[in-house]
Amino acid sequence: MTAVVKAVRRRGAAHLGVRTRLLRDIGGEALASVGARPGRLLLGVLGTLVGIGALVMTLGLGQTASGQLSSRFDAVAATHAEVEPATAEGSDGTARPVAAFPDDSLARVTGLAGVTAAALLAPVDLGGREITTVPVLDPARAPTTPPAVVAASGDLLTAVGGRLERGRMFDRGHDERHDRVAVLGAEAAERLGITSIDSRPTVFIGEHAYAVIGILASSETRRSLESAVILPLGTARAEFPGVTASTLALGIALGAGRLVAHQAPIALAPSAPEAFSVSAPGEPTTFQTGLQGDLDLIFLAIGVITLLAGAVGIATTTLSGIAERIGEIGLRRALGATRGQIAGQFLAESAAVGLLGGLMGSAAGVVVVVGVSVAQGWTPVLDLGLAFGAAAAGGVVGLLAGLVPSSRAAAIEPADALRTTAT
Amino acid sequence: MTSIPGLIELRGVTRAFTANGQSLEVLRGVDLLVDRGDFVAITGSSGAGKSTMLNILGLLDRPTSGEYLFDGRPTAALGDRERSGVRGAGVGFVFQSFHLLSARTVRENVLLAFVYGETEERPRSTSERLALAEDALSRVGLARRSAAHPGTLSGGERQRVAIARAICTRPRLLLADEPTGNLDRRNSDAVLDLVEELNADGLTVVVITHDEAVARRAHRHRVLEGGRLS
Ligand SMILES: Nc1ncnc2c1ncn2[C@@H]1O[C@H](COP(=O)(O)OP(=O)(O)OP(=O)(O)O)[C@@H](O)[C@H]1O
Ligand SMILES: [Mg+2]
Repeated sequence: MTAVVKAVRRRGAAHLGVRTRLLRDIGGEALASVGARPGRLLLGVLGTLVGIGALVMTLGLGQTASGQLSSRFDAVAATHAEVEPATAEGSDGTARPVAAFPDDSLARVTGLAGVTAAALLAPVDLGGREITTVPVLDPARAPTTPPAVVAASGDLLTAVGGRLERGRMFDRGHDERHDRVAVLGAEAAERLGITSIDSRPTVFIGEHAYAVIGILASSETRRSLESAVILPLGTARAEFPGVTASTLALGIALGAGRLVAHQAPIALAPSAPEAFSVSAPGEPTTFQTGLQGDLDLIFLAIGVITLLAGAVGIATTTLSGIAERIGEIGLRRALGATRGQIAGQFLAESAAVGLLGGLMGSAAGVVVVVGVSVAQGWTPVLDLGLAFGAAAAGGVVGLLAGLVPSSRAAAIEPADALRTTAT
Repeated sequence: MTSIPGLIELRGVTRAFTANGQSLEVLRGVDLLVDRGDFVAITGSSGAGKSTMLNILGLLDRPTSGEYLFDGRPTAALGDRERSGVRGAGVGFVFQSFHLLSARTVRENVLLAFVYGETEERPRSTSERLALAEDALSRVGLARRSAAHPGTLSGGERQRVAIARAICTRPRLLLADEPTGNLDRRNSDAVLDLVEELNADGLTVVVITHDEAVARRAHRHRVLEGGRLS
């Protein structure tokens, strides 16, 4: 066997030195080729840039917006909690509470470290009675669903993060004397046509008149209170049968959540604390998050579509580049390039173009996210992994876009390629 | 078969192309034996199939039938990697059209030969490559133009860059397709002097030419006619 063939044999064996050198050289060739055609490079980069930019912008704005939401939510969650009796499935298949709040629940929990306020809440079943602002029953009037009635005792405002629009909250005196007073949620007040309490308005529940002493503007943890008629628990118990407290709302000191979650059930039921569970207040603002999700989806779709267009752009510029560079391909083959090395070079070229587009797009996306956040007074939230991942995704897109062109380039017969004249 | 086989040998090689549904038999049984250190000139009229034959010798194309032995070894069974390996390490090409990369400097064009032409256990270092490239460029008289771009060179200078690229990796076989076709007498003589010098150092040369002067300086002269060598 002669020297050249032996040398070729050796080349086939795994020589890291030759291999790494070759990889480096081919990578260098790819970069040099990309750099030699700035116009073509720009064309290829543009689609990936816009696509990756849109993706980073969408995901980044999404993260930032949900960061805003959750930081607001976190602030509420950090200072409020709710205790509910655990439930078990009854014989009829419905979930029933396994325990009832003891009468002195408020006293038991208000003494706990970290608890700043406590209020018991109980739904009230009107038993078909209507809520009106006039005592006369008008049989011709169409029946309407009355606002929900909720009974409460304790420091409701602090416990549910509530804010009064006007008037005052009922107090322990009202509760103990079973006074017929009511506080209306703002929405309920509007429905009942009560805009002011200066004229001492009353609402009728059934035939009994309740003096409206306050209007609740909002509640951070219990939105449903805004559309409810709120009565003192003592009054409700005296007037309506079967009123049972379902929730114990707690205001807690910042950072005391864990402690309270552990101690409140013990305070309520020392022998069976598992009968009560403590949770963060849960009435999430579904409307807002839903809308956010839709917007995200649209921008995500835009990003993906532009990215696809970018991939097609890279593929076509690479393909037309191959047609232009057919003489070069022939030359490289004559100099000893294998089909695989030709394919590798074109793959590396389109991956480099995609990576460049990805880097620029990712940077542009970050700039937009930060810009919008600054304009909105938000804290920009952006995963660093997302920014770099998106840039890398550009490279992957370029790589995929280069698959077809590079296999075309590799398939060109060297003799045919050289027949085409070049410089 | 001789006891010492030639460096390259064609045995009854044919090459047919199908164009527009018609078969065109360009080579019809070419026999050629080129010994190590030989200097063979091939002439023939235009379209006779000289470039076709050279492509087969350079493993850029395969015969339709017949046998091609490189270094005494049949090439029909060699795969792309092995054929590419022989091209890269063993063969230097000079084409009729220069095939230089216009965006690269003269030096970079020559260095390109090292990218695919490494067979040693240890690849040549960048400085070794540079030294070999500069040496090849000075042998063709272009040492001072190594930073220039091919577009700024004359036709003769471009051809000499192509020659430097072909010889810088120290191949064993030089295949040249009308290397002096674009050159005036003076340039052509300089190129031929260089080829003769390389040949004297042991390089095997097959050169295609229309030029009688070139054919006269070769050791042997064959004519391709009617698809056969005579
Ligand atoms: N790939 C191909 N497909 C079809 N026909 C081809 C192909 N390659 C070569 N031919 C034909 O083969 C014939 C010989 O071509 P070749 O290039 O080998 O000629 P040549 O002797 O080198 O001519 P010249 O001196 O003009 O360079 C020509 O008629 C050409 O058209
Ligand atoms: Mg020819």
